[in-house]
Formats: sequence, C-alpha cells, structure tokens
Amino acid sequence: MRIIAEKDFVASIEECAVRANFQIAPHIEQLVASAYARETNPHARVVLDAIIKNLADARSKHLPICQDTGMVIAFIEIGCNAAIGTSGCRGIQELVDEGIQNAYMKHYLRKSVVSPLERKNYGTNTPAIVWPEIVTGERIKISLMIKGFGSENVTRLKLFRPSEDIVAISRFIRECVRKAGPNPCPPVFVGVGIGGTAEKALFLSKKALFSVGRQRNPETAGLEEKLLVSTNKLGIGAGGLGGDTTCLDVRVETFPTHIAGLPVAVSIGCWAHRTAETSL
Amino acid sequence: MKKIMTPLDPGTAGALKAGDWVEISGIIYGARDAAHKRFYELAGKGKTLPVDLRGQVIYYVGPTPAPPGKIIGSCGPTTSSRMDRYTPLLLECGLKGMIGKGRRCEAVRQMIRKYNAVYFVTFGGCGAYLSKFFKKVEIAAFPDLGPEAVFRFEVEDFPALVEIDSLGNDFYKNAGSSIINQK
Repeated sequence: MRIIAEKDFVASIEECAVRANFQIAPHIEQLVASAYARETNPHARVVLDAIIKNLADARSKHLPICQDTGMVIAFIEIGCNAAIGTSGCRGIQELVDEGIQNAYMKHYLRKSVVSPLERKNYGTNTPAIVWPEIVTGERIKISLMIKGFGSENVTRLKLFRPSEDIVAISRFIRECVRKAGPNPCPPVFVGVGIGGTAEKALFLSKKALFSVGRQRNPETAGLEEKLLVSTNKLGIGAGGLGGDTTCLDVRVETFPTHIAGLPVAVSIGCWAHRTAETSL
Repeated sequence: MKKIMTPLDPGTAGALKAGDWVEISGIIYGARDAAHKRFYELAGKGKTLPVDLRGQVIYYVGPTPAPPGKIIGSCGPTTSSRMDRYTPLLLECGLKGMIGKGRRCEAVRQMIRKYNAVYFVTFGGCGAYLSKFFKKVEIAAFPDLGPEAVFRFEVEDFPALVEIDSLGNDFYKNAGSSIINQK
C-alpha cells in the first residue's frame, strides 16, 4: 500500500485550484486560438480578441480568468493500492475542502458557495463537489474543474424512450446549445452523457467535459465530430454575436442502461473552461 | 466605436442602435441577484432605494476581491436573464442602462422600449481584461452582501455592444442567438 501524506494531498488540491483559475490549459487555449484564426464574423472577432487578451492579462496580472471562480468539482481517482495517510478524523470531502479554501482565501478568488435556501455565504467557497472513485493502481489522480454557473444553469437532462434513435438524441443536444444561446459565454464546450440512470448520465456529461480538446475515443469520435459540425451551424458565435464557432469541442461518454430507458444529459462549459490535473 | 458618458441622457440613449460598439465612461453601478432582490423589495414597498437610479447604468457583476495593489479583481459580466424579474420595476425607478451578458425576456425588451433605455452586453469570461477600465471602486450599498453588494464604479472607455436599443431592437435576433426567429 502506497501512503500519500495528507498535507501533500491538500497542497495538490490547492495548487490545482490556483492553476485552473489563473491559467487555461494549453490544449484549451489552442482551441480558442484556432477559432480566432478562422473566424470571419467581425463581431465575433472582437469578442475572441478580448478573450485572448483576457488570458494574457490573467497570467501577467495574476487576476482570475473569470470573476465567477465557480463551484469546484473534484474527481479523485484513488488507486486501490494507494491511501491518504490522514490523522484519522477527516474524510476526502474535508481534505479537498481544505485545499480549496486555502486557494480561495490566499489568492483573492471569489467565494460563491452559499447555503441553498438561506443563501448564506460562509466565505470559503466550500464545500466542493467531490467524486471519489477507486481505480486500479497505486496513484491518486486529481482532476479539478472550476464550474461557473452561467454555464451550469443551462445543463439539461432528458429521459428518452428506448426506441429513440441517435438522430433524435443529436437533435436534443443541438437544441440544448441553441437554447443556451449567448448565456453560457460561447464558444462553448459540450459534454454529453448517454445511458446509465438519470444521475449517472449527468455525472458522465461532466466527466466528458474533462476530455475536451484531447485525443478522441474511437467509439464516440464519429458522433462527436458530427455534433461539433451541427452545433457550429447554429451561428451563435463568440459572445452570441454570430459567427463561425459556437462550439469548441464536444465529448460523449456512454454507459449501459436499462431496457426501458435512455437517459441523455448535456453539460455545457463556457469558453473559459478551467480544469487542472495532477497525479500523486 | 461610439464614446458615451453616464448618466445616460435621453438623447444619448436614443442615438444608440442595436449592434453599435460603445466605450462607456463615468459612473456605473455594480449589482447582481441579491442586490436586485433587495432593490425590488424596497421599491415594491414604496421605500427609497439606497441609490438614485435615475439616468444610471447598472452592471451585472460580482467581482473577485481586489488583490493588494489593485482597486478591483476580475470583474466580467454575469448572466442578465436572472435579473429579468426585477428589471421592469427598476426601469420604472429611472434606470436607463444595463450591462451584462445574454438574452433578456420579452417583457424586459418591451420595458426597455417604453422607458427609452438601453441594454448592453460585454465580454463574458473576460474579467481580468475588463478590470483595466475601472478607475475607482467603492461600495454604494448592502456591504453585507460581499461580492453581491452594490458597487459604485468609475469606468473609462469600458467596451460594450448595444444588444437592445431604445426602440426595442434586439441584436441577437440577427446573430443566430435568438430562440424566437429559429425553427
């Protein structure tokens, strides 16, 4: 059993939260830069130019990329031969929250997390949304996403009849992007979860957002590429002002489902898709 | 790029057309969900608002805390549609301009036309870039709301696009973003 010290785990969470808020991952920045290079709509060009200047300003002035520093989603993969050497009284939620709180307090990040009904803000931006998973191996992999709510508020779930085909599902996904329109800060990233149960489909749609801009899974590549083309035909464009790029990338994750159902979930990421990963 | 000054007089508001890029200078007020709710409750009871909105522009924003040596943190727009339910009453109180991102509902579009007001959009997710247009920042009301307090900002050449003009023209309709004109 490989033991990872509690303080190292907390420090890694903190480091990822800071990195994600101030620097966009290179593969995401690359997608934004190529969208700017090929954009022909003058309004969209103004928006994409501001986006690129914003990334430079965030880096050089150490200001968060976006004022919505989000609610943090933490996917934690723990190898079954690895363990966090805690003092015994804190679980994974507490450890992640400590790292997030440190990052948000030390780096002047906005604390947006409130109690749901009273709307009370405790000023720590915690709790984070923590999804631990036990996997094979002896390492711990941390994947953080800074999820702004301009994009979170346009998440959709539809429980299709099992007889529906991929055409109907594709139409639904395209409709989600169209209805979201200018609100979630396009050009957007689209994560799709197909199958499982309702909550599994939603979970997969978030997980899919982690893989945008990377190597495609051959099993879903064809569908993803079709969806990318069809969503870009919507013409919503950068900032919703019209243009060639509405969607920067689409990823689909699937899971077996029940004979009586076909859940489909769509999560949208704004252009400022802030993620960071590390392995311990 | 048109240069305009706040507060907005009727002539300035009337001359702006949907799709115009503008640079806004002067005082603008920062307010988002929680502050709007309080404004709405106060105005609904006939009470005086802590800020006189006549001719003023509200920017839908909740900035990040100012780091040492800076007057403001990251300060881009938040989604405007969440303010739709409060907006007609604020327009009745004299509000002339709003800056945010995304669509407004039909009722707001009609009220914008009725009150000769303007809805601007600016660059979503560009809070670091937009911070450079802020020259002065103070809290104008509700300091207990933290990032959702009402701020009084002095801005210089703040960039925005006229999304809904005072005649009720909606720029998104020409840009594929409207859900009304799409099949």
